[in-house]
Amino acid sequence: MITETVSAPSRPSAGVARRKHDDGSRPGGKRPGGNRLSREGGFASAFTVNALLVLGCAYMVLPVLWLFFAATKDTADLYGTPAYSLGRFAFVENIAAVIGQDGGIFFRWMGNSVLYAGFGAVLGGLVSVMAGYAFDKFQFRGKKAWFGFVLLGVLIPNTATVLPMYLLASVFGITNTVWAILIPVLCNPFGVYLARVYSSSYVPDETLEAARVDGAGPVRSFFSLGLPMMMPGFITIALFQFVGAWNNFMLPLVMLQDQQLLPVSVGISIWQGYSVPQPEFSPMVITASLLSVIPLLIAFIMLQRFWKSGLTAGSVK
Amino acid sequence: MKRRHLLLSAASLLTSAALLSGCGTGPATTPSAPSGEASGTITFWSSLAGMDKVAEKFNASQDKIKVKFETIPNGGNGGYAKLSTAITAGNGPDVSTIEYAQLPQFVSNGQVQPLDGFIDKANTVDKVSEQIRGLVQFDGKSYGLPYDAAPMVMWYRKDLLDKAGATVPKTWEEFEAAGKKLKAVSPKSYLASFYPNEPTLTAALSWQAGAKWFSTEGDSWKLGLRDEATRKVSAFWQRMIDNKIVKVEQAFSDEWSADLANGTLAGVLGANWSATGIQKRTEASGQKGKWIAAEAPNWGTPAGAFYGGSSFNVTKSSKNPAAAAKFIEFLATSPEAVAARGNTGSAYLAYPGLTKEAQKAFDAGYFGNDIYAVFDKAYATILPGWQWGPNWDVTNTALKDSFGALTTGGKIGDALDSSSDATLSGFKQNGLSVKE
Amino acid sequence: MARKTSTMSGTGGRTAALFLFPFFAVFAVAMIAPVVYSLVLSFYAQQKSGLGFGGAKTSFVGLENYVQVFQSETFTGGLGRLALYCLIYIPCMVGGAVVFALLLDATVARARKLFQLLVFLPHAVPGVIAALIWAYLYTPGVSPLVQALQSGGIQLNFLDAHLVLPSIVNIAVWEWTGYNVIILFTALQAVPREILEAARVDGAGEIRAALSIKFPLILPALSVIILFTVIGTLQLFTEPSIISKATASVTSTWVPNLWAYDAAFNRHNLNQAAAASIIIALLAAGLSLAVTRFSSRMNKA
Repeated sequence: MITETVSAPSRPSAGVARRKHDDGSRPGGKRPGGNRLSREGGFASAFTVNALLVLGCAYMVLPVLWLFFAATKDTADLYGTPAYSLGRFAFVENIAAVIGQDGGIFFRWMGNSVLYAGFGAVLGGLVSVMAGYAFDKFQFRGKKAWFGFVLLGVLIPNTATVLPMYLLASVFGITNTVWAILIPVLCNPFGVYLARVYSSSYVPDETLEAARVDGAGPVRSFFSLGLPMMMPGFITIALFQFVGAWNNFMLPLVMLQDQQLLPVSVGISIWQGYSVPQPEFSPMVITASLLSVIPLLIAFIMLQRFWKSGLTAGSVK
Repeated sequence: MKRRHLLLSAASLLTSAALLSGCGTGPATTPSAPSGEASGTITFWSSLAGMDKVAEKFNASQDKIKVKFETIPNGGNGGYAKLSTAITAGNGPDVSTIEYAQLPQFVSNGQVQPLDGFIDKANTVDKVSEQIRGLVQFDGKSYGLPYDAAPMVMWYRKDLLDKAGATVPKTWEEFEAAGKKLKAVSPKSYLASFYPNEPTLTAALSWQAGAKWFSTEGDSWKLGLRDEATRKVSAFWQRMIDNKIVKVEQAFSDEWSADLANGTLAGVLGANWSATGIQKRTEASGQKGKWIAAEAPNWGTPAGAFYGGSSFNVTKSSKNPAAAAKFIEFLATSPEAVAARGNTGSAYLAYPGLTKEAQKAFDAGYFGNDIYAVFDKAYATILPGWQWGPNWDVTNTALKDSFGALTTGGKIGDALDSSSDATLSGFKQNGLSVKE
Repeated sequence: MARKTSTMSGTGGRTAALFLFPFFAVFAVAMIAPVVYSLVLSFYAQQKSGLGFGGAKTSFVGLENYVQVFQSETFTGGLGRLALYCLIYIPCMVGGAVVFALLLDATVARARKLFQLLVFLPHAVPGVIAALIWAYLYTPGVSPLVQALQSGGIQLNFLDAHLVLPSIVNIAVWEWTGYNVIILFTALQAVPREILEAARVDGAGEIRAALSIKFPLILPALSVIILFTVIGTLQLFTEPSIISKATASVTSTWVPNLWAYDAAFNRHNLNQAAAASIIIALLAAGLSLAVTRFSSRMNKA
């Protein structure tokens, strides 16, 4: 059961399915509600609630805002001027320093992050979706046990397997290669779990049955019917895997030594290390952090809808 | 039939030729440097500044060997973990840079190759001072060419000392007295810092007092973290911390940088290489000419110790040790290498004559006295006989961890005790023979 | 072997195998194989002798590595620290998320879409960057927070040994609260409006409605959140790694994952690191089972 498919009960006065308003705005507009007794709390109550919400959001936003301001400062100003001021606007110099360092290695790092995360998102997403679809649509012996394995995989923390993966990879000599990242990134048991949920809600069995009657094989019906119908689910799973791979820190830190192969998060942490003996690295660390966060922020804002659906599908069993 | 005969004779000719040429180079213990054989591309990792320029200079000066340089984080930021991991995984560099404290560990793990047979020993290793040579030679073999010889050196804000009516301390007693005078005049100031993240400095202080944390007796190690000299040092510094003459803060941290910039710190206990760091952190706040170098205070008789310093080595990953060794000789003994490095700091080098070259490249005008003269004096008093153990990382980490409690009531003495225990069990877990 | 009454050809074992193969292949390589190899490694050790300059021998040592790991004060200390971390983190984060979600759902709340976006914003920031930002925000001399407190007369060092744990908890709270607010808020949308109407008609105020009606109905979502949070806590690595560069209070073995990393890369004892990793994996599995059992029992009640 997913909240998205719950269309009733809605307010008696509105005939609109809930799905359209899963951002919480009530059908009929954003009025505080005319026939609700909470009016008695009056504006004091509205004020408190909204003030608390503003405070909470301020807590969330101010650190990111700090990043924006700090990125405009050079080393001296960083320690010398108040935090939310602009100092000697050195933003352009900082960006130039970040881009120029080590022959543009920052772009290389960003490119690596996009490669690892993108590969994990698209290919890993497909792998997860295929497996989830199979668990949902097919019958076979020991299905419960196999799915139990998947659930077990969800429950084992990522970092508990990173070191063993490194130990195994060094036996085969594939540490310090892109494969050391690309292969693990394909494995996302939670994605399989989500895919099963999406498959059962987006792809009616009857459609598949009809296709089978028409003579389509299972693989064909998956690619021409099942997957397209599951597309919102696929995008959500891919998005989750993208962010998971982008955020992954311990795996690349442990597996990769070659600077050219690092993703951007590990690269920036290395610069943070340099900033200890060479303080002029500090503004670069900050500016690079800002630059690396902007693509994700944009993606988040544009793809909110998929985020929310994924989160809720995963939590409401 | 005839063809097979021909083939067989050709094969035997080739084989005998190979064998003969193999005999020609002789056994691996030839003392003379191989000439004309070292060639190819080698990789070089270092966290020292300016090494990229040195590599370029080497590449430009000859065309048999090509050096590919890569910068790596320094030890405190995982540089040695990265190096060790890479060597174990088989893709380490040909030439590495390893500080003296960490070198025995790399040797003990079989991660660096002995240089004997690839270098001209008489003209390189044998020419450096006895104290340094002992830091790179184990079991009769040389495992690195020493690069810098970094004497522990004290740096002071002369103007702040003058204002407090204190003279430059020659002994630790005078240091304490100067500290008290400073506190009387500006209670928020400190005469120096104690670094929880630099156990190597604590080791240097103990070395200076005559301690021997690691020594060998026959086939066994002997630990000395609890010896009398160390206890004397730890009691003294604990008193300095308790009396707020010395501040506990991490070296190279933002807090330390801020304290230098705003004049809270009147002194820095460091080495010759501290000069650049001090300059960078204080030049924006008008402190030019106010900093001087001085010999570190002693316990009554002039004595010194090394604080830091690196060697260059050939790692086990290297498939071309001859070329690597040639490059190392260039790095560690040639004036051109030093000149190419440019102004990256006040280097003080192990190989005789190189320090003069380093001095030329460094603009010491920021400081208020002749810092190299001070370095020379400090270098002359280094106590011989200090050794680093084969698992310094265990002691280093244990000390760093225990020092973390110094700001909340922990004591240096306790930290040394628990680190001694950790070191002992580390030795035993590895199967090494050790006594306390 | 259950079969659907309308047997569909092409939906049986062989097709399933085709679809499942890619995932389970990667699963075997990325999860099963490493854990098995780790298990094997954990029963061996490298033994040197004498002065140690002569090379090491690999020998079978049974459970010796596990004994050494559990005997290590830093490892057990790290486990205790994780427990303390959970004790502070879970109430703060879950409590904060519940309160925020309930506030968002209040009828008098405005600009819901904007608030949702803003509260979720920290989740767009990767853990490394979040830790970096907060490391600066905790550093005296750079941090507006410390400056503000200082001008008010309060001297707080967020990075000293007493405060560093709550400080790191705060980073995690900042990163994850928004994420869980969205989950809870969407779960709240499924609360039948008629029940709330009825409660209002009966005279219940907003807060009372929230506590006695909304809260119990989101408990299932809450239990899933807690499960994943507990597992996530065992993964703690990134934030302490970054903060350790800014302060001596975070030691190299502060949490079990760091301990294992230190064993492998600083002490060069891969066998002990393997044993530590197995212990952490077992703990995670055990905790997950416990939390799942507990929450399903609670949900049935």
